[in-house]
Amino acid sequence: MTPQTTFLIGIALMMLSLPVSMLGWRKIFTLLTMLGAGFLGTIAILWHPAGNTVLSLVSFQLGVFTVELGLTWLSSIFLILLSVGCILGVAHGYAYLKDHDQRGLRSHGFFLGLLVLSLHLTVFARDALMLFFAWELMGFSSFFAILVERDEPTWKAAKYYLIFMQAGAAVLLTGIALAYSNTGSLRFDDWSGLPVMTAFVLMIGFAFKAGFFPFHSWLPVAHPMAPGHVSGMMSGLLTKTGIYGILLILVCFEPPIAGLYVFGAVALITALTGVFHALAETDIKRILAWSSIENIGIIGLGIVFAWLGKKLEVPAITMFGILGALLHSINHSLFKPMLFYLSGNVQHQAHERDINRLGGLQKRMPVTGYLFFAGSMAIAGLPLMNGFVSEFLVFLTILKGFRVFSVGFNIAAIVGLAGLAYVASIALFAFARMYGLAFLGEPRTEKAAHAKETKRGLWTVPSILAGLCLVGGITGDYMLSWLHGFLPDSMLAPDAEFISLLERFQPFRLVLVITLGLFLALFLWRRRKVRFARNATWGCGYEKPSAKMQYTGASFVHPVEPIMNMFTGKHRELDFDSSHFPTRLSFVREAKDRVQKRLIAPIVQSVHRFLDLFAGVQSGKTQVYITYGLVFLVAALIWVIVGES
Amino acid sequence: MTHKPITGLTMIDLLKARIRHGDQAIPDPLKTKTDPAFPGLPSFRKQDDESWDRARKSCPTGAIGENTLDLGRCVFCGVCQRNFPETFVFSNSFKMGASRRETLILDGTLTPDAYVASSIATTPDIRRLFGRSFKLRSVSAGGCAACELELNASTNVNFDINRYGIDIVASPRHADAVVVTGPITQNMAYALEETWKAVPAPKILILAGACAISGGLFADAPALQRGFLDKVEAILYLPGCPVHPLTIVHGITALIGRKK
Amino acid sequence: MIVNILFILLMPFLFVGIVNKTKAVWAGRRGAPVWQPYADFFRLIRKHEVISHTTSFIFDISGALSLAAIIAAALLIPFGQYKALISFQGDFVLFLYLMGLAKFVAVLAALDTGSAFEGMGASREMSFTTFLEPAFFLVIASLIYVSGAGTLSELISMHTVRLSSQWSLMISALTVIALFIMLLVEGSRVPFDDPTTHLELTMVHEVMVLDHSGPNFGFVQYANALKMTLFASLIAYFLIPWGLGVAAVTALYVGIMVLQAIFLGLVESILPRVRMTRNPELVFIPLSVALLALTALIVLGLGGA
Repeated sequence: MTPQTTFLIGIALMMLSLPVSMLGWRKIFTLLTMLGAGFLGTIAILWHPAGNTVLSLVSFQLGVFTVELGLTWLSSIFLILLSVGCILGVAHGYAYLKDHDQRGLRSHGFFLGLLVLSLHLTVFARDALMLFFAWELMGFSSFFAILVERDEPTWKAAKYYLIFMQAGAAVLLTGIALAYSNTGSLRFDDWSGLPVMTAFVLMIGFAFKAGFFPFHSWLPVAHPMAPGHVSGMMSGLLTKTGIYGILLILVCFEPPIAGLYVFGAVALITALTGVFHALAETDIKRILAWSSIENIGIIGLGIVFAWLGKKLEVPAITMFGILGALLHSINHSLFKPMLFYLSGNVQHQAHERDINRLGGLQKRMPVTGYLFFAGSMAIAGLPLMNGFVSEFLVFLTILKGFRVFSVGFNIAAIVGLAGLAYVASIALFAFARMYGLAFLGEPRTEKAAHAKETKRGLWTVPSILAGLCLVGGITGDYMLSWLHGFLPDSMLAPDAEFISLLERFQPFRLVLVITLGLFLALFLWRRRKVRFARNATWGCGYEKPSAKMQYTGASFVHPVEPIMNMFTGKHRELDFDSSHFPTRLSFVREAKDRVQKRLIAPIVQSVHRFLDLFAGVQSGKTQVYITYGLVFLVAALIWVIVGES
Repeated sequence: MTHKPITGLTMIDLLKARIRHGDQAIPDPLKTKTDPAFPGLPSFRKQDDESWDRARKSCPTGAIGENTLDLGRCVFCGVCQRNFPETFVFSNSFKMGASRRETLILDGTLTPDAYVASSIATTPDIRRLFGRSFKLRSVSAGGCAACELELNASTNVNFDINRYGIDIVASPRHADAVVVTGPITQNMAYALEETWKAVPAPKILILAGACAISGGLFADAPALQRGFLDKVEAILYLPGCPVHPLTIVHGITALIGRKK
Repeated sequence: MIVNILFILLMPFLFVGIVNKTKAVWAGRRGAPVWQPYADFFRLIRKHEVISHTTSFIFDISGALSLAAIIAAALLIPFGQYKALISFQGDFVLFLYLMGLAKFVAVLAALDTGSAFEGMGASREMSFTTFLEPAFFLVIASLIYVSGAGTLSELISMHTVRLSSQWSLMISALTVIALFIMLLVEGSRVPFDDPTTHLELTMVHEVMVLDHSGPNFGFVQYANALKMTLFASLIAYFLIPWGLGVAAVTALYVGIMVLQAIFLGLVESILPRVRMTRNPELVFIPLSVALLALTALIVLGLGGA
């Protein structure tokens, strides 16, 4: 079998899945899509287009343009990320919608299949035309895929998302047009040496999808409204195409050092904004969406330092940075969908996403709870799970910056280091809060108290992902060697650097093994020896403890609120009657996205106002419209006559 | 009017304070002597039935029985000693703690020294487990705060029960023993029971003060609810009204087998 | 190696014991013997447990997991000698994250009980961490900047004080200040926290373990003592002059550890607890000190390749 046939089979399977879905054969649809993604993914593994080789698959003529599909080292890495993610995502989607009201699921399947197809096409595209086609397809299909629940909030969120994607696409299209006028070609291979402005516009176009500040505000709006599997795929996979695009452009041109510093600042602000919102939010899915933004920021930092290393001709930094960014992309595409799928399960069982109304789920949904704990560990970057390895790499990248003799770079390294450390510690805070409040303690509401464990199907995929996260956390060096095998020369450092990187994993693993061994020894020794008596939590002998006395999302973060408020807008309402025995008391605290409030809302409003100017034109009376036509004709006539003379 | 600038304490001030403070700890609380006026372990010799009966009626808590004197009820008011000095003598020995409730009921046959020698029984288990470290949880079960203050005083600079590895801790989960003071009122019955349940096994119940041991002055009060004591047996009774810190120190150290 | 393991096993409780003894002596008491923490530990691990029926598996694993993580972190720190048991380039990241893991499970265990007190402690503990973690990274970064080393052992052994260089002295001094404040916070010491009370005023670390009992509590006590000793150990190396033999270093190390414990005891005796709302200001100190040191170094161009 050649890569071409494999590719065609994969695409054909996916195409086939679309009509199958319309027929309502959901099982076959799922299998076909998974198979298709599997076929496409194996291309990158079997034929492994590493270094500067390009694996050409298909090319055809479309008018004056040659459309070409193929794989490079970069797209191979992202292809594997996407196909693994899609296979698991679609499988989970099947389980998730199994008991759902079947109405509308046919078209949902259709658009889901289209989303999977377009995600793959994005990385296969070797020219801007194909890329843009896949890009738009991705935007629209994901828009329709969100719309499973057809209620007002979902509809609004989906519209918001669509408008955002179209704005991004418009910027991207501008960039592509500029690039075409600069280079006279749409093929990425011909784009080397793009002018800075063009590359800048293109990168902004991609930043919309990746969710970089200030283009991030669609994530926390769209993700909560999508069904579990779609939000997982959007957050884990869709945003990665933005990262892919940015890397694609970065390879093509020589970014100026000031531009890199700006990009670095944006990445850091993205990470900080994301993580502080994750700390402030109380809706599980919104927390996860904001944390995606944070992780995109971390990936961005890795990329920035990689390219700074290039500028300063320290190949080790470049290699560490790009490996860190790529590995973090992969890791994020594992643990984030997992958490989204699980939060979908929580919503499914408890009909609630607000951590202030959950609690005690660990005992009611044990498997979901274990997996959620594992996911929280991974996303907080704790050792044993994969999140640590990639964050470790980004840290190493930045720390290497202190050995470079350049004051500017050193200062960038300080800011990056302190910022990243801060982000990491806040992430720990945010996920301890999310898991702790949602899953531990006593249920705060009836809904949470009556939640039951999901069916096995709904935690199969998350447990596979958890397993992958664990494997990635312990054998990070194999992942790195594998990624290293793809890198082109321009990203590589002398082998000694890479070997020294890999060598660290032996003692690292030893520490992990010791930690686990000690833990098991202590734990089992205690379990064997100790007799356990069960009793109520010690409450100083108080007779009527209530679940409402527990710490809440707002009180838990109260000590850091002043700092949090620097990054998040807030909305606070306290209402009570001030009598001696108040009977009415309500407190609301919400985090508000400042970008949405200060930047997007005004734009939307001014667009509104501008369009309102024309509202008077619409009267609905036929005579008036005929008059408009007449006026237009007369005007045209006059113009023609004046023009002739 | 001039204002002196407000300054903080300097290191020198602190050192001076420390030196002036000196060493206030009682060198060895188990060997120390209390003031002769301190009413401690009583002894009695029954003279005649009539005076005994009068003494019995004068006793506010009914500590004086047919032929016995109940240390667990005695509030050490000294009425009997003042009126019948031949019959009742309160020594100044503070070593009054006992492991069994019956031991507290003196029949006048034991000398104070013999009482001290046999009153508190430790077990190898307790010695092994708690001999070097023993943590208490205090429950004030409707007490008047006198016993509580004395219990608190046993941890202060002078008595310093901490030197034996004994301490009062903030959570029953960390404790090995519950020290009950006060007569156990209805309102505290639940809390006491909860506290007891919250202490991990092996655990010990200690009753400190006449109220806790017998209800003391409030023994017949309708507001008491002492059912808890039927379920759990204390293994250390510390008499007194209030119980003296030295009694506490001696009783507990003897219980955990630190010193006799 | 044996020295390291011995220190990991013995030092923490001795350290706490000395601190407590110092406090007792300053207060004019006799005080518990210095080995009292061992006695407490052995009593705890021989006891049974009471567990709240609110709690889940998290509470069950928390003690063992946090102790295991802290011991693993201790393996990365030179303890009594110049070399840690295990070291690799960038091991300080793992060190810090293992501490983070211990904290993560401890905080979750506190939330697991559903008690408002424990939630409060958990919240405060996490809040302090957010200041300390970046500070620690910056401290390490300034050491890397100057020495170019990549492992904790190397950084520390290359950074014992060179008495001849005023910069070495200054870095050491600043680092020690930063680390000492971290020690106070991480070890839940006055003025941030008070290990002897569990009152609302100072509810940070101690209140998070209100529901732990028996061996579980013993593990937590050990982990906490070890954590404090780790920071003290790091500080000790910054006070040992450069260029001594192994025996001399170990001897000096032990001496400095004892002195530190005494100093800590004095600090606790003399300082009042700070109002909880003012604590974040104090926790900021290491961060700003570390930032200051690093910026100064970079502006002066003292490091680099």
